[in-house]
Amino acid sequence: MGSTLHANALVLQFRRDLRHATKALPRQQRRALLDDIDAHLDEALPPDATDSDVRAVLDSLGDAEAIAAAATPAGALADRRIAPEVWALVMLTIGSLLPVLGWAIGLALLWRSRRWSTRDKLLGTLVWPGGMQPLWIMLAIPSGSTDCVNSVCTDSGFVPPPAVGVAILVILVAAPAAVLVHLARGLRHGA
Amino acid sequence: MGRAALPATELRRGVVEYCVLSVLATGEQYGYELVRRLADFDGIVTSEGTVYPLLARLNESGLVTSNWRQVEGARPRKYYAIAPEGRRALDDFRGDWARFRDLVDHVLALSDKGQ
Repeated sequence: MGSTLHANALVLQFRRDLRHATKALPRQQRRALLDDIDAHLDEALPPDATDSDVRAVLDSLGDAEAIAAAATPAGALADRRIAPEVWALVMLTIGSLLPVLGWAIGLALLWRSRRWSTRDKLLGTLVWPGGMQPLWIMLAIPSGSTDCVNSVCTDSGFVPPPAVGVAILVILVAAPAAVLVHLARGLRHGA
Repeated sequence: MGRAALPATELRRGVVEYCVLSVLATGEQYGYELVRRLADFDGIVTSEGTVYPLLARLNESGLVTSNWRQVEGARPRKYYAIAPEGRRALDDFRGDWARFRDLVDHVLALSDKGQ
């Protein structure tokens, strides 16, 4: 078992061609495809296969470029399934402009998807709860002001130190943005 | 590619997925077994190797499930099974396909009568 897969020159060349042709695929997808094709060749070729047998099997399999090309475009069914994930990302970020509901919808779509791991879903949920909603709230709250009448100045409202205010603002923008990028990458890599 | 081959290629696109689902609806199968079964229907797939990326997409879409299994005395095999969502997609397609096929038949009949 497997001797033809690892010893026949034609098979070895085909496997090299396939590895080369699939270089642009995401790592996980590429590994799965190479394993599938190896398993196919292993099943199809007896240990004592002749070059003629090998050629027949490789002809049926198709050339490496065609197999790689078939792995690149998403088919009709896969396309149909991408939309919910894209909507999840939109609702978790921009959608949070719709108070509570927008983020909740994003969360439901996130957890419904099979394309993210539980770890990714937890990240999407916990960083940052409410998505960008805390940012919108912070921007909407009137900041403290200083009124001066006849050289007597009084402060009203909460005025955080500038450095703290900037740090909070950066966290409220950067944390959801980083999670968004992470989730989008996971989607692209078929996580 | 010849002119005559074009329509078949175009027709195949978007339909092969459902043929795979239909074969899997008859029972769980490992990759090579499934590919050979499809190959029995000449013209359904252009080349056997392109079935694997298709299976990966169906798997990713949650329409089929897969798992590697070691059957005693044999090499590890990746088994595919249709998921409930795959069955629903197949049922939807069955209705769509019947309607579309009837429509095309009717349209083609127009020119057939004229000849």
